[in-house]
Amino acid sequence: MHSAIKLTVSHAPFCHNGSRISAKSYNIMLASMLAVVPGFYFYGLPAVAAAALAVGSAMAWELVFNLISRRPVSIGDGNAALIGLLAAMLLPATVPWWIVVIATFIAVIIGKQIFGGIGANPFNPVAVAMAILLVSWPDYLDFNTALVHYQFDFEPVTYPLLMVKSFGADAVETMNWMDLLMGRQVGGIGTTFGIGLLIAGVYLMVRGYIRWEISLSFLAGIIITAFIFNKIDPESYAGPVFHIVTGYTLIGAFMLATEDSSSPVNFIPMLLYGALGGAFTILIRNVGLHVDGVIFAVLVMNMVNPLIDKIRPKAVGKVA
Amino acid sequence: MTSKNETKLGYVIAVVCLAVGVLLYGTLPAEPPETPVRLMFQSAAGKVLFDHQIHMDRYGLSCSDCHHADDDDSALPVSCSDCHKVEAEYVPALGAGGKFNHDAHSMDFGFDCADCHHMGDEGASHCGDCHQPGVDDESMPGRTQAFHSQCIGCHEDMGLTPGAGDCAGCHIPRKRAEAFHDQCMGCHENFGAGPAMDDCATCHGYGK
Amino acid sequence: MMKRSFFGIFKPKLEYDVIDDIKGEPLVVSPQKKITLFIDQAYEKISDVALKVGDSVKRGQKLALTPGSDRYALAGRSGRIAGISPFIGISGEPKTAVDIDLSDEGRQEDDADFKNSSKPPTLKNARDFLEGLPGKPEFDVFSDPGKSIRAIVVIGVDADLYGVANQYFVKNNIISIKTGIDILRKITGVLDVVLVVPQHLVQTAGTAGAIVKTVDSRYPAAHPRLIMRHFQEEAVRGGAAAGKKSDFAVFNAESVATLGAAYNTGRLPLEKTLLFVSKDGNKRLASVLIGTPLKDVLNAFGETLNQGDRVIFGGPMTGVSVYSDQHPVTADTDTIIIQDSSQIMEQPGTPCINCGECVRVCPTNVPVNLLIRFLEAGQYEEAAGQYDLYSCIDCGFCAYVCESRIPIFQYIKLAKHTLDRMNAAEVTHA
Repeated sequence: MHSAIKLTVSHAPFCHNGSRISAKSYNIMLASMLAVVPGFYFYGLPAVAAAALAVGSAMAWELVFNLISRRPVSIGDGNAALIGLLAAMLLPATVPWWIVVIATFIAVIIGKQIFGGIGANPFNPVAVAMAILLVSWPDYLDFNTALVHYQFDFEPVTYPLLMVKSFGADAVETMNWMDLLMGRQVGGIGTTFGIGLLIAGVYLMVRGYIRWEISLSFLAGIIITAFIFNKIDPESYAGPVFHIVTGYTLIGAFMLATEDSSSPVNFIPMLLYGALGGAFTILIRNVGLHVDGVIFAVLVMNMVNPLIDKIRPKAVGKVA
Repeated sequence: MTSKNETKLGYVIAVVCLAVGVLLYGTLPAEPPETPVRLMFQSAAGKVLFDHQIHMDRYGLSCSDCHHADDDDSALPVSCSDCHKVEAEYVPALGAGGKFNHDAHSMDFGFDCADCHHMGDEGASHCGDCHQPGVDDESMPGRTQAFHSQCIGCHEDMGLTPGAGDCAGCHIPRKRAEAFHDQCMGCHENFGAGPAMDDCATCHGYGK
Repeated sequence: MMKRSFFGIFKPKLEYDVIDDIKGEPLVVSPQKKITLFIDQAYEKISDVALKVGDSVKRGQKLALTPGSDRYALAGRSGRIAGISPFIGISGEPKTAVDIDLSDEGRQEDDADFKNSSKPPTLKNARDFLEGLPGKPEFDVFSDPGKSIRAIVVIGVDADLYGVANQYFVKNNIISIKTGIDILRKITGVLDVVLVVPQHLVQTAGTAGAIVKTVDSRYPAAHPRLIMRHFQEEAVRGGAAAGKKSDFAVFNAESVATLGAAYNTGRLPLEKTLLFVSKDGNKRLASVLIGTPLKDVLNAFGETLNQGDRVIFGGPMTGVSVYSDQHPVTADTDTIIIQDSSQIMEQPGTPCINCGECVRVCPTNVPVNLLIRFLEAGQYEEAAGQYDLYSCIDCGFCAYVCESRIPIFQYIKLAKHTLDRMNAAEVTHA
């Protein structure tokens, strides 16, 4: 039963929905542009420099590790580029070049590649990088210090979360949440333009590139916890809306907490993961040492992710 | 798109981004603007964010109102920390460690004792015996006033430096914390505005 | 055609094909020179083979390697045996391939064995002659002493996408199905018969004299194992004795219809109804004699094969790709899909990124994201023990949505196959 023509033989299924990792990476990056481009507008060329260097260096680190470990070149999946872009979004615009290069090194090599590359990282690579930077070079990540040379048309020109932490909720009373949402606040390159992040988040959820369960429950966790704190002591703790529109909340909900490898895949675990992450964020902001809690909350939730993802429906037909 | 094309696209993105990043970092000016917008003062008690622009624009202060070292507003003001160092001790012009050189004045410049000292029965008197620090009235000038008029008066008569206004010519500048506290709080108290001396955290609230 | 929808927030929807959308009557495809039949029995193990090269074969004749064996094939044309050779199935099932050189149209001889022994219909003559009919009816369950059959389930839906054979018979030949159902009732003594059809065929199905049930129009709702699971659960809820598994006999609508026709006419209808999908995506019905080589089907539809193309026997999700244009149409070939080499998706070597798409589409809640890690490492026992390998019903949906394009389905089949062989070896050596 031989034939002259060599046919392709493979295993079922013979069709595929066409999804691929690069499509996901580039879609998240494109959506992030909604927040990054306004960041370029606010902070000018230094922000462009930081973002470009972050994307470029992240991909370069990936390539370097591919070559050293003699594995196939994996920069095509766009994951390294995405890591670079997200890292840049969290940094202040005037960050020195070497901080950017170190950030992408930590994220790509220490956060991802040494665990085995894409899909094997137990923690969100970007969060790992930011956490290490935050404890190692806090001065370079202090938005108030980093942005002293910028003239803005809003007041006070201070990082809102630091204001509420140092001076109580009264100090931010003048900050209008709509202004904050429109990017009239001090922050990272891609974290201040909340409207952009919201639209990006909705787009990514609708397209299925991020899991809506995680994002929405993360925001719900923030709202509920912040509401409780605010009710207990309205003078010290800002309300839920303030916490949604400031700091890393929105980028955390849509782009950090939803990282595939370090987050759960089952329905109830996704809700738990998101809600607890949101609650941790507010706990760290309100009673913890750090000004913003998103990075550390995401890392803590990454740590418990394998455990909570064990809550899953019983397989059909499974005995006992 | 095949994975080969994906990798090609990856190389293109990587090279373009690296090039743009390196180019921009290489060409962007590293120097801060001539007139600062805001200043973040590092301090052991917590950082202080000072809005330079608002103090200039909104409160109508001229440069010399704070930058006392120079009278000429057109010149670039001297930065506070150029003189007021973090660790500097307050040192009087005279005495051990002071800039006044008694030997030079008495031996090289040819002054008599009586040119400066009020001469009594027991020879040259000690200035501080009568001119007490902080005591200043019609009959007896306080120590600071006595020295300033004695030294500066003579220097001006002779057309010598350091003269009036050139504190650093005789004194080692005061340490930074003190200079800032007096400068900022003094003004705030005069205008009855803003954070006062007993309200540390309101200024020192910007992180460690 | 079957791409991810723009709105990825919803579960991917794969709609089954609907027979009403397929226009035209089936194209009758006749074999040109020869047919090839498979007998589900290893060739080497037979010492006294009843078939020999050169033996003449009559139309409708039963071919078995040993006389009286329950493993046989039915010849659809008369001719002469040109070759007998071993053949290995996709998962290593040993088979025997029998090539028959056909005699001319005018010199067809009919085999009378079935006609002579088919009055009245009995379970025995059904087992002896009808298991090679299109749709592969199986009668073993009725004679299994360990089982008591509660009901007969006739499946009028098609398990895989592009499959319309069963729907075709429900729509166009419900009378034959009714006949078949009546005969099945008579020969098995099981009176409860359920006909499972898609929503759009409920009206027609109502005339078959059976309880009609519908299934969802989305893959893999019509997968036989899902349907059976549904019936078993329903039986348990309905008060079936606790601890006693309810048994059902399952027949494809096509096999019931051909069974009805066979007893009615005394002739074995061995034309398989199938859907032919050409490279350009055109779908056409065909009626192909079982055993007809692929080449003849291609010629009939004017399709040509080039190097690197792929030919799929069965649906796009669970079918089998064949390596030769001589491969014959079999009793369960519901679909033949021709894919151009340019349409074939490459398999990049990316590991699982834990996106969870597979977990969300799995109809049986298998933790595929964890399972695949064990399968890739070859740890099949752990996979079966802790990660629900045997809950999998082989629908292939996980591999269809896999973002990393891991051949998950292949891993699963390989694991099951390996475990089966290990268990068989243990039984042998125990």
